Amino acid sequence: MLRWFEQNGPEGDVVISSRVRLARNLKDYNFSLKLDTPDAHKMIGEAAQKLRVLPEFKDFHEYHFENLEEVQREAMKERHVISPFLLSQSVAGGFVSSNEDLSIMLNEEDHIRIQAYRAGMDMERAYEAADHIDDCIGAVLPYAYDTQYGYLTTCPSNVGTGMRVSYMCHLPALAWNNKIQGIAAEIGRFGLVMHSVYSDGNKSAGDIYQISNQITLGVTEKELIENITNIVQQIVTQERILRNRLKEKQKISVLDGIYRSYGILKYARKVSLKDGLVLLSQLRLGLAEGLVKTPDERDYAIYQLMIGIQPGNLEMLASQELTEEETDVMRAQFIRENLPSIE
Amino acid sequence: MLCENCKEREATVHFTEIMNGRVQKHHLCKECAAQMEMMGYASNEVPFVKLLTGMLAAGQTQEQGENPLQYVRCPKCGMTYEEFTRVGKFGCAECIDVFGPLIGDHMKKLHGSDTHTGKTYTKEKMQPETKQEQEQQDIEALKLRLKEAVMLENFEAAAKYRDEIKALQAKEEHNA
Repeated sequence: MLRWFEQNGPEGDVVISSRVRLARNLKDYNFSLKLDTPDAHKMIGEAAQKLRVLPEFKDFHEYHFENLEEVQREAMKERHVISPFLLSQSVAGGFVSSNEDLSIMLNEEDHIRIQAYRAGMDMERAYEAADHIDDCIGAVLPYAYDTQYGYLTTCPSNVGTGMRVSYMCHLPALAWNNKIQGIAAEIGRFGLVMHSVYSDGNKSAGDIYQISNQITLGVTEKELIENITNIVQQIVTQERILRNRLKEKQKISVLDGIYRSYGILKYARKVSLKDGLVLLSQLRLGLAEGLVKTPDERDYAIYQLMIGIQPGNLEMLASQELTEEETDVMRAQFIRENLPSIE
Repeated sequence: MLCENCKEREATVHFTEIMNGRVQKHHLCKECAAQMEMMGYASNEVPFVKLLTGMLAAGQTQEQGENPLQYVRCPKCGMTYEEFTRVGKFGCAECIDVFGPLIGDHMKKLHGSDTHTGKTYTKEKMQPETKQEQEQQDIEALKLRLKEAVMLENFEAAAKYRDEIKALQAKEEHNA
């Protein structure tokens, strides 16, 4: 079974994934800020005990941080199974579906974070999945809920629906035309926020951006999804217009860039993370626009390589700690072994 | 003045940031300011929280003399008003009753609303077995509140708790 990042979904030329995250807390425990370590263990224990017997959780993998190596947790964060916040916790646990599109984190900033991913632009189905799991959990664990403020969360910026909806998009043409900052400012007026998923110092690497809602109170889940989807569709259109212009006016330069990138990816013996992301971004654009093709035009999701070249994943593959140079060597080898051939 | 980030270009963007109640002045060049705005979102620190703590801190400094709010404290988790304005986060489910009324206006400014309209959650959604446990817990909590009210000689509240306990117990017997 393919994972969400191993396939291209609807509008997959631009939209990599749709993600819904629901924040929930248990009524009877203090929230993370005031939850001491013994109570955190107790909370995770109680939640895990109630959840692991649910039929919906039958094929889920259960994990607890005390049983995981640091590098395993890091790799889980790189695959977006757990959040950076959970990674920073010393006591945590959770459940992951076998294809990793559903993840339930315990002892995040809120007691429970439910996360659902789908490939491409498919927020309705991501929400359906998260909503169903939410109903299952809410039936066996009493949530903190207020009639006025809705689902109560540690951070006042999450109360109400407790829902954060995010689209991850590949926007190379907008980035090359210096349009990203303008868009980021513009969508702020609609209560949305945009950030670069991978950055190298102050610069984005790989042209992957995440667009999320900020407002969670006073809007329904449906309205939230409609609002952000509408805006992201417009961003997708703008990206496509600029890609077409590139193909019309600078076809040879664009093709040259893609083939040069492919050449380095295929033959280099050392690749830094930043270079890897930048080169893969070029290749992703080439495949998405049909400028280069895999044999039999087989669909290949480049984003899986962008996850694969992250340091934690490489260290997992090597089954040993790596120096920075060894990581770059390992990265080059990983890319050579997994790069699709192009015609 | 040089930009505090790149220390190369002239600083043309000057702004004051109120974060966690502390006031900080920043001087940046146009390029670095634009970059920071983008990258700021990459960190987990949502600008929302900064806004909220900023608003609360501003409200506090305006108050003249002793602020009666400094005595406000959540009975369940011990969160004080001072701490709440500093971190801008709730410590438990009861904090909303304690601090909610104080931040209603700010919530309106941040979210454009102060009332939830999305998915609802009720005890009726709980599985029967868990629901019973839940009601048992509610009775225990009410008994504690009753005891407290009697101690404080707040007999009006005590009578209310007594009636609620009776009603829940009657419901339990009926279900049994």
